[in-house]
Amino acid sequence: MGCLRLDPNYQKHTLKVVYKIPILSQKVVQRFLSVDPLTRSYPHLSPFAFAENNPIANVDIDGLEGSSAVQKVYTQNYGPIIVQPAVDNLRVTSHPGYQPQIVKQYVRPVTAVFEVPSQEKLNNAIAKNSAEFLKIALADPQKLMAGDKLEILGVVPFAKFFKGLKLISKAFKYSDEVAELVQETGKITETSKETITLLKEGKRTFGNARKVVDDVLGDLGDDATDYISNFEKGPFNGKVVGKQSADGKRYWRIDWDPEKGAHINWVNGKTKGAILIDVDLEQAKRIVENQIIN
Amino acid sequence: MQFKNWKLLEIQDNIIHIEYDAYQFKKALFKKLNILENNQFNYLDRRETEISWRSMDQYFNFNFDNSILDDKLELMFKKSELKTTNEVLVFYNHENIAIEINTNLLISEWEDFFQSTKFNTIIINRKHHLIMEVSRDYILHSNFKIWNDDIYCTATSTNKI
Repeated sequence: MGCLRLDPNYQKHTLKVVYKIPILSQKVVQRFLSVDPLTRSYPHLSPFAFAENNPIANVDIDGLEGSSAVQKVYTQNYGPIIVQPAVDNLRVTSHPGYQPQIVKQYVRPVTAVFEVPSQEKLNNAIAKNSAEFLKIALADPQKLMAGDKLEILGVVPFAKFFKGLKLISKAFKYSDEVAELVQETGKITETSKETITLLKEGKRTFGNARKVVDDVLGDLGDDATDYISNFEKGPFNGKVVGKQSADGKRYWRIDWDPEKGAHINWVNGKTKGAILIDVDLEQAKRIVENQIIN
Repeated sequence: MQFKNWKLLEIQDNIIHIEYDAYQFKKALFKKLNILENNQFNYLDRRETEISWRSMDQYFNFNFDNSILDDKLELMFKKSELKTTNEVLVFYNHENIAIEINTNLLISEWEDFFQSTKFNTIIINRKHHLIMEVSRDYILHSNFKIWNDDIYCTATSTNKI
């Protein structure tokens, strides 16, 4: 592990990385004296990276970790949709699975790019974490077209959207250690069968989600096996994406969808759920690519 | 064959036929039926399907992750074209096999079959004209109509009462 030093005696380059040099023997102004305290929670990231090495897509929460700038928007007649701020437009994505009225045939996923009244307003809304400032009014999602202009009335930041979860009071009994991690457990709609677990702010890591899923599924047994991705043409074919009991009745895998973002998707017989984690798709890919599942 | 999958173990005496190396079998079947495969993979995206459904002549889908449908979907299947076929082939992609079973078994235990395939299966009838696919986002895709507005209306009105 290297250390970063700022050497006032070095004229041309005041900042450089040096390796394996005893800390006390160096004349330095600033340097890291220890590894980032969150390294264990984010094994897929460099401990020296700012905003997870993606300062455009992420913002720094508290000097410790980055958080996605992607926001979720709630619409009255359209359910949750993703809003991703770009330079001067928003990318809006939706999916039929989360329509408030749930199921309708012929309704298909819609992706479109919309103009925003002004980037400044969007930035203000994100900065204020305002749930009221912006809101997208959509008349008919099936008529959405790329280039449509929308009136934006409210943005709900990630996770705050799930404040609207229909809480489950009896379905889950977490262990004391895991209960400390969980903010709330519920369902997106009254009739949805998928249970959503929202971890507390700052604790939405893959490592913590693993603790929760281990608690929910229990011991998968000595003969538990890797859950191998099997989309033959997919880039992760043959990669371990989760774990399963020998009979396949209980399993979990890392997954992603536009509504929930990256999450651990678990199934226990007829019960199923998702534990949300605060990493974007690229980071989730790296968890699989680097095989940090175990 | 010694199964490990819980559902296959449970119904092994009801399996009419097993197709081994289901991957190659499926490839050949798709080619024969001119079914286009999806070539756009987004890594971990739960919405991914094996079939390019947009290219099908007819395409229907709905989300079955709904407690209202628990006892209604069986009726919907029975009212659909699926009822006109006696056997169906269910692909267990993770086991690389496909099993042929009685259609009534699939209809009555559809949730078990979907779950035991890890919500990642293609189901096709013997004449190969009725095709369904289950994706991990709990969407049932099909080239024939399963959704029945009358049944759904009954379900919702019952729920309101």
